[in-house]
Amino acid sequence: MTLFTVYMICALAGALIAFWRAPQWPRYSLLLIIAAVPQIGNVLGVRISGMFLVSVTAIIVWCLCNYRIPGVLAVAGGAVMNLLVMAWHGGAMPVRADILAELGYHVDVGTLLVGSKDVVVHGSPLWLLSDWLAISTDLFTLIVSPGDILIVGGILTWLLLSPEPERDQPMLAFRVSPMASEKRARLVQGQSARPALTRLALLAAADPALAERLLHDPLDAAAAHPHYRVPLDAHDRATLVAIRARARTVGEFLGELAAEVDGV
Amino acid sequence: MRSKIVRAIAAALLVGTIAVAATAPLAPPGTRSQTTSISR
Repeated sequence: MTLFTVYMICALAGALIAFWRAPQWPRYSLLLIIAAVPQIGNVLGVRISGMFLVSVTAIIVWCLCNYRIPGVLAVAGGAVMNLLVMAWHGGAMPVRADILAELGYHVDVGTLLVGSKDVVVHGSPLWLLSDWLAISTDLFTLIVSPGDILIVGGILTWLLLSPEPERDQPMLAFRVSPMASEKRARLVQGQSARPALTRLALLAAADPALAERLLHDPLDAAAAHPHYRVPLDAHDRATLVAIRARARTVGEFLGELAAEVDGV
Repeated sequence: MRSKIVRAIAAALLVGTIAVAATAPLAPPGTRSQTTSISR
């Protein structure tokens, strides 16, 4: 199938451009598949009149959904031009017999050309929109319509000129610069020299009941914590007893404990 | 690299589908069949 080879070449060219540059992706591409299925049937010789309407509707809706993307309006214009003249000729693209004759192909008027969407006509009121632009090289001969050229231009515009989608930035890579006051603050790096007291201070800060018990009997409260074991050495126990002797309130006890933890 | 390949495949499918759905070119050498009487 020469026509499907042409479509494959178009797809390959699109893939090469997209490999080099990321285009903006259109939405609702399922509509394009719905539009394409009747046209594939048309090429294969399965022509159902109602299906042509489905094809037209689907592609117009797709274009309306994506009209903001550069090139889509050109694709829409080309598609409307093609589908208009095809609707005039019962769902087949007309090609004039004299144009085929100029290229050396003599075909009877009214012949549906299998392997294409074309029907040979003597003339058409919409012949300007039909297949009449011949592209002839040593390798192949192709007869295209103005709508086809507009569609190719629209696809190239989309692939080459549509804005590239924004790249996702991982949240963890997002850096917040510290405020001026934070820059000036002097931070003491390293761990506390009193890990057991640090743990006890954090537990007391989180649990006011524990802080109250520490004020009354720090050694017993530290040893009898229901969830976390706080291994106190002799130095820690002596420190707690000294704090207990100085502190009168829970706040004072925690303040003294924090000062010992920080080594102040 | 992997994302580029996926992107290229997606673009190929999209371009191919648009071409099939909307364009109607004619390639005469491929139109020979029982219902076609093309002769050089």
